[in-house]
Amino acid sequence: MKPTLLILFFCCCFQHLKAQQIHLKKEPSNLKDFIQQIEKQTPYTFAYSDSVNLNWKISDAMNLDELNKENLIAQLNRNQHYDFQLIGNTITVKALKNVSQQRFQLSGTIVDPNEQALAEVNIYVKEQATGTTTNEKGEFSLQLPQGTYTLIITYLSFADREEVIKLTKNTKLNLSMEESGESLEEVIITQNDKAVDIKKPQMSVNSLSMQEIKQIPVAMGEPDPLKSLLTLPGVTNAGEGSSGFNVRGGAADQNLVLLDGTPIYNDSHMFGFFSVFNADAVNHLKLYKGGIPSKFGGRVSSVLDVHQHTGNDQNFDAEGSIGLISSKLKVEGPLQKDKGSFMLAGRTSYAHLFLKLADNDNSAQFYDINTQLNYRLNEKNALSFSAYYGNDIFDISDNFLSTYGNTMANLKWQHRFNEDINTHLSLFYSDYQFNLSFNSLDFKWESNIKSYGLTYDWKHYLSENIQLNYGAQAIYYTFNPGTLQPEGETSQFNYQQLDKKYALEPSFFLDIEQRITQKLNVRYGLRYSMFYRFGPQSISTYENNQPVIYNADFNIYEEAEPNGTRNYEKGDQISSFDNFEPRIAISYALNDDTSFKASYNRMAQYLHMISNSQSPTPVNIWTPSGPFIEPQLLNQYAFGYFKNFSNKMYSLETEVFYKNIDNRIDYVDGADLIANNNIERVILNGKARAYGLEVLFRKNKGKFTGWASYTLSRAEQKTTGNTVEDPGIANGNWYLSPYDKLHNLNLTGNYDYSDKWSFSANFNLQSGQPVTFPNGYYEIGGIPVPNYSLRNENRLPTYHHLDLAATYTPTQKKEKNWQSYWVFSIYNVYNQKNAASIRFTTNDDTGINEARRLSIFGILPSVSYNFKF
Amino acid sequence: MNLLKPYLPKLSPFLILFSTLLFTSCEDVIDVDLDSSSERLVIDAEILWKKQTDGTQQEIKLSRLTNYYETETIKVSDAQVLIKNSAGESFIFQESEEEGTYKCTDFLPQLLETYTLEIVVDEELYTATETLIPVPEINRIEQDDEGGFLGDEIEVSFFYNDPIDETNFYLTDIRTTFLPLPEYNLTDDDFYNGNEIEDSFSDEDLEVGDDIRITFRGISASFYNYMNLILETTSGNPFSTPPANIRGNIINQTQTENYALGYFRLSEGHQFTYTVE
Repeated sequence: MKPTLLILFFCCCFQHLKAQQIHLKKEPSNLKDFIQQIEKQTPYTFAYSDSVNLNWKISDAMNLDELNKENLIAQLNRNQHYDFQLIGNTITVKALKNVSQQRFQLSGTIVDPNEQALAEVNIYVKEQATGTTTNEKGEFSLQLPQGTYTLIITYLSFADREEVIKLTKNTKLNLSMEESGESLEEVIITQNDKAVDIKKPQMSVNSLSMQEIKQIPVAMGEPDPLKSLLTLPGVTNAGEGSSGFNVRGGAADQNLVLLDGTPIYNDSHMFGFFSVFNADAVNHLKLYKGGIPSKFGGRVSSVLDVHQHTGNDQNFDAEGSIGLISSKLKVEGPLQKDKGSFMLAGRTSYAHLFLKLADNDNSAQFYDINTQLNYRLNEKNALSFSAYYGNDIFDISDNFLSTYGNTMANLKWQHRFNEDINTHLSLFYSDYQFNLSFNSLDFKWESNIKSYGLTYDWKHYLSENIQLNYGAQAIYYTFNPGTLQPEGETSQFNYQQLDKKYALEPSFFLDIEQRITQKLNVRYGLRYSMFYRFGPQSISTYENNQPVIYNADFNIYEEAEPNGTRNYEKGDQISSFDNFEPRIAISYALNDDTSFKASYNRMAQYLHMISNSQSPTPVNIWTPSGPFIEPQLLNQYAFGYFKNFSNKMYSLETEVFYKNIDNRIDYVDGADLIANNNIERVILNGKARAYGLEVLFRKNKGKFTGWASYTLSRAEQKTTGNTVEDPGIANGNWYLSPYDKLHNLNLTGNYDYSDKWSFSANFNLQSGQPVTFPNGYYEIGGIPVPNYSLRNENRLPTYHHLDLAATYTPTQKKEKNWQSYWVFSIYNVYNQKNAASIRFTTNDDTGINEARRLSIFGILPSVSYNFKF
Repeated sequence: MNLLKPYLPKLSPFLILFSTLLFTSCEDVIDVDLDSSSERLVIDAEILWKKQTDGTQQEIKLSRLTNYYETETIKVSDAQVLIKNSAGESFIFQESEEEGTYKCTDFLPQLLETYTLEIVVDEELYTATETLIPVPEINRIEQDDEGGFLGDEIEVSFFYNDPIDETNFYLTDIRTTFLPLPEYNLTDDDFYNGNEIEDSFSDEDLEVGDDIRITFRGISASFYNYMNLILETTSGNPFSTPPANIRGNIINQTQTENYALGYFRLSEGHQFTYTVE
C-alpha cells in the first residue's frame, strides 16, 4: 500500500483497505456498466458530470482483468481519456482534455476602461478548473494544453467578463474590464454587477443590462432600450406612442442623447412607438439624472449615454430577430484578426408591405442602420468609426410624403501617451432632417439641424487616489427652421426660407475623481461652456426690446410689430453667452454595504426645441439661444442612501432631489409654432422647478430577479409676464408642467423557470398627465367652442397596465452553432383603456359635444423569434 | 403661418387609423366630470356684407357660456344692441322672434369704415370696435372627383387673387346638408402673397347633386388670430395645447372683470351655392 493512498484513505474504513481483487462479472460494455459493477462490489460511488461519455468503451482503453482495490485509481488512470480521483469514498471522473497535445502559453494584460492596468484580477479557466491572478502591471500568464477555453475574468466592482479563447499557439490577450453596471454582455454572474456601487460618488444613474432590457415585456415585442428606462425611478414619458422622455420632471428637449459620444436630435420612430435604438446594436446605455460628470454638458435634465456594440475581432457572428412589426439583423466579425473588427446592424418595419398587399396606397415605415468599425494600429493607437442612419417614411396616397430621421457619424482616434495618459480625439457629424411634400398642394417643406463637432478627451491617472479627466469640445450648428419650395408652375405658394441660424458651442471641462479615505470618495469638476450666435441673419428689433406685448383690454398676448431690423453679415457675432458649471459628488461609505451620497450640478442649455405639445412631434425644430432666448440654467441637488443586503442579493437605492431651471420658455396661449419665423413673438420667459423622492429596490440574484421602483415628484413652471401689469401664464403662479407625474410605481420581475422557459412581468401605475378640461362651451359662427380654464389644472385618469412575457429557448443541438429563442408577450393583459389623450369635440353626426378618449394599446399579444449564429 | 395646419389635423386621424389597423388603439366617448360654467355673456356679432346685396340686413346673437354637455346654449333676451359708424350714425338691432337673435334692417356698410358695437345687458355696457374688411373677386370654381387628402373624395375649389401690396386674411365657411356644423377654412397670405390662392372643400359624404353653400370673406388680422385659436380649440388636435380663455375684442365698460366672450367683426363676402355635378 502506497503512503499517499494511506493518507487518502485515512478517513475510510480500514477493512476496505486490504488487498482485494475486484472481479468483474463480465466485461463491461461501457463506462456506465463498469461503474455499476464497481459500485456493487466496493463501497465506492462515482461522481461525474454530464461531459463524461457513459457509453465510452472502457474495456478498449485498459485491461480490466487485474483490478484490485488498492491501486484501482492508479490502474484506472492509465487511460488517455478520463481522470479518476478518489475523495473519501467517491471516485470522481473528469474528462482529460488533449493530454497528448502540446501546451501553450496564454498571457496578456487586463486593463480598466481608462486603460489602467488592473492588479489582482482573477482569471479562471472553466474547462481546466484552474486559474491565476494578474500582477501589479495587470499581466498574467498560464500554461494550457491546446484547446478551446472559457475564461471567466472577475474583479471587484467591475463587471465579470467571459472570453472564449481558442488556444493553438502561444497567445497574448489584452482585455479591458468595464465598470459595474456598464457591462451588458451576457456574463456568468459570480461578481454581482447589479448591486449598488457603494463607494463611487456617482449617483442618480439608471442603467439596465441588455439582457434585462430584452426580458422586459414590451408592446409589439420589439425590445426598446429607451422605453425600458421608464421602469426605473425618475423617468416617464407622455404615454404610449409618444416620443421623448422626461427625466425628473424635465422636458424631452432637456435630455442630451449621445450615441457613441455624438448628440442625436430625435429619439423616436413612428411618433414614438419605437425608439431609434436597435437593441441588438446597443452594447450598453446609462442615463445620468443627476450628479452629471463635467465631461457632459449642453442639456439640463439628463444625459443618455448610449454605446454601440463593438464587433468581435475573432469570429464572425450574426444575431437577429423576426417580429410582427419589425425585424433586425446584426453581423459582426474581424476586419483583420486581433486588430480590427466591424459591426453592422439593420432594422426595418414591414407594415407597409402588408398595407400594399391589402391594396392600401398608404404606407408607414421606419428603418435604421448602425455600424461600428474598430482598428488597432499598434499598442498605443487605435481608430474607430461609428455611424447611424435612420428614417421614418409616411406616404399617403401618393399625395402626402413625409420623411424624417437622424444621421450620425463619428471618427475616433484613441492614443495612449503612456501608462497613465490615455486620450480620445473624435470628430463627428450629426443631423436631424424633416421633409414633407404635399402633391395636391404643390409644395415641399424641409427643416433640419446639422452639427459638426470635435472632442478631445484626456484620461489621466495621477495615482491610485486621484484620476483626472479633462478635455475640450466644440460643436458648430446650422439650423434651418424651414424651406418652403413651391412645386410646379401652378403652385399657389411662394418660395420662402425661414431665417437660418448659425452657432458655435465650445467648452472645456475638468473632472477629478479622488479617494480621500477608504470611506470618503469625491468627484468634482468644472465645465466652462460658451455659446456664440453668428450671422448672416437679420434680426427684428422691437420697442422696449419686447417682441410680445400684453393687451390689457382683451387680456391677451399679441405679437409686437418690429420697429426695425439689424443685419448681421456672415461671421458677425449676434450674441454670446458663457457659463461656469461646477459639479460635485460625494460618497461616504458607512461600511462595505451602506453609503450616503450627495451631489450638486449646475448645467447650461443653449439649444431649445420649439414645441408646445405634450411630447415632441417630428415637425418640431431646434432653435439656438440668441437675442430673445436666454440659455436655460439648472441647479440640481440630490441626496441618497444606498445599501446592499444579504451578500448583494438585494439592493436599495433611495434619493431625494430638488432642481430649478432658469429661462425655461413657455408659449402664449394658442401660439402657432410651426413654420413660424418669429418665434420670439409667441414665447414668454419663465422658470421651472422639480423635486421628488425616488426609491429603487432590486433583487439581483437567483431564479427570480427584478425590481420595484417608485417615484413621488412634482414638476412645475412659472411664467410671469415681461412687465408688472401682464399676468404671464396661469396669472404668473406656479402651474404644473405637462410632465408632472405625482406618483409612478413600476414592478418588473423575471423568473428563470428552467433552461428552456423564463417568464417576466411588468406592472406600471402612474398619475395621469396634467391636462386642461373645459368648464363650458359657447357658440361662435355656428360652431360650439369649448371654454378652457387655467392651464394644466386637470389630470387624465390614472394610467396602469400589466404586461407579461415568456421566453422559450429550445434545446440547442451541440453540433450546430445556431442559438435561438422565442419571446411571447402580452402587453396590457387586462385590456385597460388608458387615455393617451381626451379631446373635447363635437360629434360629427349629431353635432353634440362629447369627450373622446384615445387609447393607444388595448391588449396586445405579440411574438418574436430571435437567433444568433 | 398655417402652412401645416391642413396637414396636422388631417394626419392625426390617419395616424389613429393606422395605429388602429396595426395595433389595438381606439377612440371612444367617455364621461368626464366637468366643472359647471359661469354664465358669462357671449357676443357673436358678424356683420357680413354679401356682394350683390345692399348689406342692410344684419344680425347679432347673444348667449351665455353654458355647461359643456348641454345641447343648447343659454340665450340672452332684452338686450340693447346697436352699431355706430365713425360719423356717429346708429343702427339699432331689435330682438327677433328667435330668442337671443337681434336683427337690423337699415345697416349701412362701407368698406374700411370703422364701426363700434354697443350692447347693454343687465345694465352693463359692452363695446367693441372693428373695421369692415374687403374681399377679392372669385376667379373660378372647379370640381375634382379625385380630390381630398386621400384622393378619393369629391373636392370643390374656388380661386381668387391675393393683392400683393398688403397682408390679407380670409375666412371661408362651408355648410352642407350632411354635416351638422359648418366647416371653416382660415387663410393668411404669408406663403402665397400676390398669388392666385385656392380654397377647397372635400368630404367623404359629398355626392353628385349635393348643394354646398360657401361663404368667403376678408377678415382683419386680429380676428384671424382669434379665429385661429377658436379653430384650434374645436379641432381637438392631440398635438396642440388647448388655449385657455380665448378673449375676443369685447370690453365691459361698466365692470372690466366681467368681460364678454365672442367677437365683433365686419367683412365683405361672397356667398354662393354650388351643386356637385
